[in-house]
Amino acid sequence: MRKNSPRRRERAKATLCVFVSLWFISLAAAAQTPKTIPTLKEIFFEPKSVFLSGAGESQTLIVTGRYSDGSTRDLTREVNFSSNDTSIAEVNSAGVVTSKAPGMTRVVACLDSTAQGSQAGNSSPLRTAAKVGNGANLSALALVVIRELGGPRKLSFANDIAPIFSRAGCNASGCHGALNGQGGFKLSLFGYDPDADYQAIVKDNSGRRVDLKYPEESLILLKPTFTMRHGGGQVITENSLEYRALHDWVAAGAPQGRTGGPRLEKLFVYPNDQRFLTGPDQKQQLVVVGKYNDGREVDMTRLVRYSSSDETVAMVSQGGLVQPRRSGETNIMVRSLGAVGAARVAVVLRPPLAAHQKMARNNFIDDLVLEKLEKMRIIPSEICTDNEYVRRVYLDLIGTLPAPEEVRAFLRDRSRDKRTRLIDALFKRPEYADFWSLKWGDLLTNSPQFLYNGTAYFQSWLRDAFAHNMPYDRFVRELLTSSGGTYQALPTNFYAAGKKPEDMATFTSQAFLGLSLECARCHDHPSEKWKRDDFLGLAAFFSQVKFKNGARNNERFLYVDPEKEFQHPQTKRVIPARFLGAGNADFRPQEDRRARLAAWLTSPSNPYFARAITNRIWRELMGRGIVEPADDFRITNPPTHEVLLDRLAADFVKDGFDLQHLMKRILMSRTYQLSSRTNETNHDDKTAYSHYHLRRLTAEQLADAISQVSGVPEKYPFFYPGKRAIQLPDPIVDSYFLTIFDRSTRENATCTRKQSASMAQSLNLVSGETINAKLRHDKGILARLIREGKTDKEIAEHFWISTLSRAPSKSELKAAQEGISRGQSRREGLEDFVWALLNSKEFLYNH
Amino acid sequence: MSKLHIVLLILFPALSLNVRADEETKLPAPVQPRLTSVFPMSAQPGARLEVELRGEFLDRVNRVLFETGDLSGAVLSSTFTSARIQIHVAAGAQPGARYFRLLSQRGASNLVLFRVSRWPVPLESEPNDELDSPTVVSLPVLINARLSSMNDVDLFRFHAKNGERIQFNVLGARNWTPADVSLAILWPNGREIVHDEGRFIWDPYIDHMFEKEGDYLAAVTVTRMPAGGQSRNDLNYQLAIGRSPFIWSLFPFGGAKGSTVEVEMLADFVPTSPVVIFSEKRIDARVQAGIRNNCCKILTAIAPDATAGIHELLLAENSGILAPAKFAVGDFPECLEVEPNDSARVAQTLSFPATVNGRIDRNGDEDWYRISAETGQALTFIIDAEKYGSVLDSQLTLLDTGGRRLASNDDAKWPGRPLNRDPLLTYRFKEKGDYFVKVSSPYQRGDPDHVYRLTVRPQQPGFVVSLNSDRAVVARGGSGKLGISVVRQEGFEGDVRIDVEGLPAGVTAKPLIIPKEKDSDSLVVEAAEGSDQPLSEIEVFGAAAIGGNEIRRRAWLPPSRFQGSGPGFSDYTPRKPLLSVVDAPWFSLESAASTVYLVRGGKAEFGVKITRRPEFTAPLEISSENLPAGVTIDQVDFIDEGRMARITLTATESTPQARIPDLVVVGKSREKKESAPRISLQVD
Repeated sequence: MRKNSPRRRERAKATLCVFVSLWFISLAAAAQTPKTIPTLKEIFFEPKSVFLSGAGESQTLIVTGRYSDGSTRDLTREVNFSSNDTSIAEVNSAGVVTSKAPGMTRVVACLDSTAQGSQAGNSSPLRTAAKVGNGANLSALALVVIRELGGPRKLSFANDIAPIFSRAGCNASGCHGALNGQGGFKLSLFGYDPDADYQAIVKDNSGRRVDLKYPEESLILLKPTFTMRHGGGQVITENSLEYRALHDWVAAGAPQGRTGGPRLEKLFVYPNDQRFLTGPDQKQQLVVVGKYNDGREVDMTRLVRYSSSDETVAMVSQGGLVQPRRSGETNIMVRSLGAVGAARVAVVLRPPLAAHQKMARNNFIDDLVLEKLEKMRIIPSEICTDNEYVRRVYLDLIGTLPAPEEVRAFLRDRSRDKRTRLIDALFKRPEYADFWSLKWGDLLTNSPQFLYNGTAYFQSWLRDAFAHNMPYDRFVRELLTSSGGTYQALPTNFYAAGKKPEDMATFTSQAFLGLSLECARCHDHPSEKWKRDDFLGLAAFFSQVKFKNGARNNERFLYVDPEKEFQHPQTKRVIPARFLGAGNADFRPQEDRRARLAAWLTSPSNPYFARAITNRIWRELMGRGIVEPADDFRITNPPTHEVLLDRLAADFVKDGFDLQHLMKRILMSRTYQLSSRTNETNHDDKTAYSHYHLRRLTAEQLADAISQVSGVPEKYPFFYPGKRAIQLPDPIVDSYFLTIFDRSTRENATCTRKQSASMAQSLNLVSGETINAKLRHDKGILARLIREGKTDKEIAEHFWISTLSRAPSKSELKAAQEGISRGQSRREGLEDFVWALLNSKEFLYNH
Repeated sequence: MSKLHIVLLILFPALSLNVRADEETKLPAPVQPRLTSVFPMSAQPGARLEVELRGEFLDRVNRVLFETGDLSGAVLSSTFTSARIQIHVAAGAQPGARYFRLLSQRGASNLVLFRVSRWPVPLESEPNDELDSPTVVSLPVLINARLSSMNDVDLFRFHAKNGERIQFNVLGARNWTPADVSLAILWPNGREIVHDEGRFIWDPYIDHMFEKEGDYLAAVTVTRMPAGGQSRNDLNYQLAIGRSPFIWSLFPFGGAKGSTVEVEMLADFVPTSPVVIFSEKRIDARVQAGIRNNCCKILTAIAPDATAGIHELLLAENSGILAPAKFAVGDFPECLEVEPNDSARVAQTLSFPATVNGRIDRNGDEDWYRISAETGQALTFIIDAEKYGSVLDSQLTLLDTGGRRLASNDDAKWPGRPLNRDPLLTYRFKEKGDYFVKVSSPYQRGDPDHVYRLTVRPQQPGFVVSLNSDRAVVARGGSGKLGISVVRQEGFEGDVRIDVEGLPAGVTAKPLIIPKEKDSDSLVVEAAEGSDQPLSEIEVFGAAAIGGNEIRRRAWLPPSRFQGSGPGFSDYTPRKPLLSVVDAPWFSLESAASTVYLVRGGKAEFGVKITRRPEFTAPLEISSENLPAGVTIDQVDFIDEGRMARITLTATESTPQARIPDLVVVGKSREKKESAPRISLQVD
């Protein structure tokens, strides 16, 4: 008891504060005093080799320097280029290689000699950032291969002209790529159908969009240059390469080129790893290589359209030059002819750290997170206190506040592994299954809108699955392949009423693969590689699913009609079932296709499955997905910590798709246990996990917490008193409180709950009956404590720990006692005090 | 303007038009009493108790008619919407379900269920909505309770010992009530241990082993309100807590006449020495071995003169909640499925006519049978499973030896059965040869309770006639209708002639032939003015010429409730249809709205259509039954030449917010009194 006396605690706390402050000050000082300057170790080309076909073809190259601290930097504008054989290929000062004749040669990049010997403090970006190390390899070679030249290459609309419209944004969804086009002119969205676009430009409207005799009079030149009135304004200039290309193409008779010819398959973006731009004037040139399905590679650096996912972090020019603006991370998306790619860029404008503070590491998560934090020049927050941890892990894992006695028991425990043991204990709690079945109810749209009376049945199956820690691969297989009555074969409720094979394809890919394929339902995905045929091929796995009615109210029986094929919505041709990115599926006669889909989907070799659930669980516990949004994995939305995601996913698979293992791995990491209090290096960090992300309690967590603290259970219609909000099966259960605090309506798969702030919420908490009626209740804990003769101090301490999982400080306790004494009566004063706690941010947030 | 004002503005012109269009032809039609709830629903042998009934048109009930002689009853009082009766249970009455109806000058009511139990049968004691004020019960117990709204909770506290296994069995749908409830077992602090939403139809069933001695709570709440609003007075249910035998399945669930069959019974809570009772006295049953793993063997000897068809098997017990299992006596030779028979290669050979008893005993199981057919031979394949209580929804597929599918059936038409998911297939073989019959589950699901009987026999064209109701009414000097449906089977496509036996003197039925292109019609019954037998048991027959023979079949009666099947379901069918001959009412009333919305301190209007016999012109006095305190009829205006009464209700400011589900408008003229059907009143 002496050990935990308030005075000792206060003293310990004060000591800790002093210690933490000193520690933080030392870090801050370190952050501002770099002791060593990184030296340049090598320079290298990206891409490392160039393959060109035909004369006059060109390829842009970039040169990157690697430094002694592992950082990299774009030195393209710092080096001198030369070609070993200019009869085969030439290279200009910007690093653009142009083919001359068939053969093989090399281009060389050499760092300027003055730069080699320079020191920090000079004006060059290179010079300001680093010095060159002794013995560094300061020249780089790139292989150049020129294939058979033949005659001049014939113009092709699909390969040479259509990309211009993508680059200029003409075929974007807000312009002529809209469903009905713009101004009577319709292009396929982002150019996924060049044949249709050719028809629209050259043939439709009696061919008035091109003037073969006077090309400069063509509408496709007059409009985008704004020579003629154009709703989209000026999108190209008359002296641009794009204008010249369009003009020459029209002058050449606007040829379509070979239809069914080579199609752009993929875009490679260089650099292909994340680049850290560590100075305001440090720019990064991007290079984009397009790969066609005939094997040809084409420089598309000036043909693609660029966009930054966060322009406040970095902007990108339409020449592919990235310019930093503020510290943070962004993705640069490139797009052309239905193909997409992305480059990952981090901007770090904080001063360099001399030596990154060595933080204790609990597992590989910490290794990988810290590695990136170091690159980002971010010092992580300190580890959270036991009080913070016990409250946080209860809320994150079982959606429930710890009871005062649970908090005290945890604080009393002096064993080193108590945090780990707490996780194990929480997995066994019934609330764990309740809470995670609630989350999955959101994701799997467990709502009477789709399931009528089936919601409680589906919830009970989800609950059992989590209570018994069903391996996730089996969980998904059972959902996908179930047959029978919705009230007996409970996973059949996954197949919600009225959902078509296309709906199930969207639903399945979103829930289990983290892929948003909805776009590909109608057209090729604009920001992913998925074509419409990929989507329809996935939908074909669900074509055999049929229902018949049962005897009970709204009871349905799912069965498989093995004869049923899936037809193209428009052409009615039979679409073969196709695994996403893995080819067509072959079936035995009468086979349930869903079983094959489930086997492929849950296979350890599936590139999406384990990563998607790993990311989802990470998001639930850490507040932000490694891919965010968690159900939007795509090339143009890459993970912020790709290696970490891969390691977690591999670990999850290796451990038998064990969800609790995965959660425990995350919860045990120091990264999860970091404080939510930030320092000056990480206060604006949103993506690097340098601190715990504050989150308002969800509607159900909050409702249950208020009931628990007050000791007055909420009575929900159709349920007994004591039924907690996290146990409710569906969103139809009437509760104004839950509604205003963003309970999911489950009209769509809800991956992420809203976290809105509204006047209705504030008014409800401040003056609504949810809190006030419970505080006034004669059977509540406050009334009981008063009846038991507890003092104001004892009551204050009780509620402090029951709401915030911590004891009050002396000053807090003093203020509380003063506040209580100011009440019109003692009871009223105490009610006001508990009300204040329940309205505090510390209570309303998980921190 | 209130909602009702708007509704009335819209409805009144339309109603007026309708009245004018129909007034020349429409006479007030007789309506029979209708029962919607019974409370309490059980009593012990020897008990005499008062029972409250609710419904409509109950004002003149004068007799209680039980289907069996061990229970009797008398009417104590009645109104238009309720009646109090006294029931006497004979001291020797065996536990189980009983059925009764009320008779009145209006005719016969529908059947309702009443249960005899040797367990204590207490009533819930309200208020029992809070964790600290539950109704306390001792086990075993059969509680009679009711819920009134979506916010109502019934909590019952009971004591369980460490390691005690207890069954919690809610009887709602299986008692024919609309109570769709859920059941949860709670710790005293309200934390849930286990819950169920409804295993049978919508009745919850929990079988739980307690790991700690102590007091616990059973909580019953409404799962979903049936149509009609947020509050009801007919959500009655029984909660049995104890250990009552529960039969899940019999295998085989039938045998041939003159054979002895070893039946495997899968059941829970079976006593150590169970006593088996068959409804067919010519079946002798002897329990062969004790209970092991919820399974016991019953040696069943079926006498050669036993009646072919479906019979019931019961275990003697005290709770009265045990539902009988079905046992079939067949005319053909029978055999058991022999595993492995999961593919054509290992198919079991069948000769026919025959019945094979099988079960889809595991997920994905398929049972294959090989038959030999002659060129041009037409065979019928029938599965009996779900309609006799099996949990198997089966699928029947006929294949040739090359694996080509010749025909298949999943759900056939089975008239008069609660479920229609058993298959039936008739096929004419083009070539002599071997063929395969495959029985499977369309859901690839199976376990030892998925039992079935497959009968293979030559095609027998025929038909089934069924009645739409078990009671008809006809007014003296008028006519009444009885709906009839025909299902033609196995290739029969001809006319079906309907005739009736047992009509009382003065009552005749118009000749009725249901032609081949129709499958339903109404039998018109006419009663002379002087017909004086108020109630008769009648029988309806269908007849047709098939293959040169006149085939005559008794019409099936519908089961009293079509609410499902499976273990625990009681699909009682009355013995014979009843025909009531009554005096034609002088007038009838019909409300124009099904729900009237009234705001406290406000008024609401609604219309009631009045239909009179031409010779009845006396003025009517309008009143009501079941108006809540604070609500009164403010004004009644007769409009449209007296064919419509416009009623204005008013509510005081202090009227409690409520929904009244059984408001009736009553019209009176001297001794003549009639009511409109029930409507709801919502006070907000």
